Amino acid sequence: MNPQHFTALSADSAFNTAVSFVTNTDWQGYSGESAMSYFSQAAGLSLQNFLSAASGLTVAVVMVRGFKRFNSASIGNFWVDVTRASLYLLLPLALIFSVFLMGQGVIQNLNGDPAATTLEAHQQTLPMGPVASQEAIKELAPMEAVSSTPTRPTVRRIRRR
Amino acid sequence: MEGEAHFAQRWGARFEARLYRLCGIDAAQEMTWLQYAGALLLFNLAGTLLIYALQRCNSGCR
Repeated sequence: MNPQHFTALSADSAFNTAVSFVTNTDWQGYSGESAMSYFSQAAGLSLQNFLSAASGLTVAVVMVRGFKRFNSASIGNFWVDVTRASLYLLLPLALIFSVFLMGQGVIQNLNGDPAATTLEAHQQTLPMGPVASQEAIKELAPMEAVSSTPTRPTVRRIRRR
Repeated sequence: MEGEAHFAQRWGARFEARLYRLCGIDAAQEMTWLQYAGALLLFNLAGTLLIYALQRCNSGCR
């Protein structure tokens, strides 16, 4: 899944992107569509879009659980929480959102980049790719990150105890 | 993510149970905060390594 034959990224750039996507920052020091193979985009970056959002959700949930459970040594199972966050929340939402995006004309393919001639007779390359599926979770994941930020009632409760 | 089963959880329970069996996870096992934090960090460390490896092998490591 690399029709443009992109080569490997430099070590520092790859590390920067890896940390960025694990922390749900999603920042890249290069243009994704002109450096990353479709496989790396889907199996690496989009996967981590799901998993970093799911990790954030488990932290929010487990914090609430920690407040709720009094005098308890355990706070639940991380693997169960992260599975449920991905399976029942992120995957269905991303599926619906990506189908909606495709319906609105967002591209979703694994083709190579076609060349096009502009009205001024210039040559232009049009980036292709599985955009809709990646865009959906890309837009959803930061929303999850925002929604898992501790809110004011929680802060007040800590002070009271 | 606890208490009464949500409607989606009732539908997905069998798939979920199969996933846990495949990954060798005991879903009923409770974790202490330290174990939970460790699992979270380990999970995200694995994610970091995966993305790093994928980008370094962007073209299939030829």
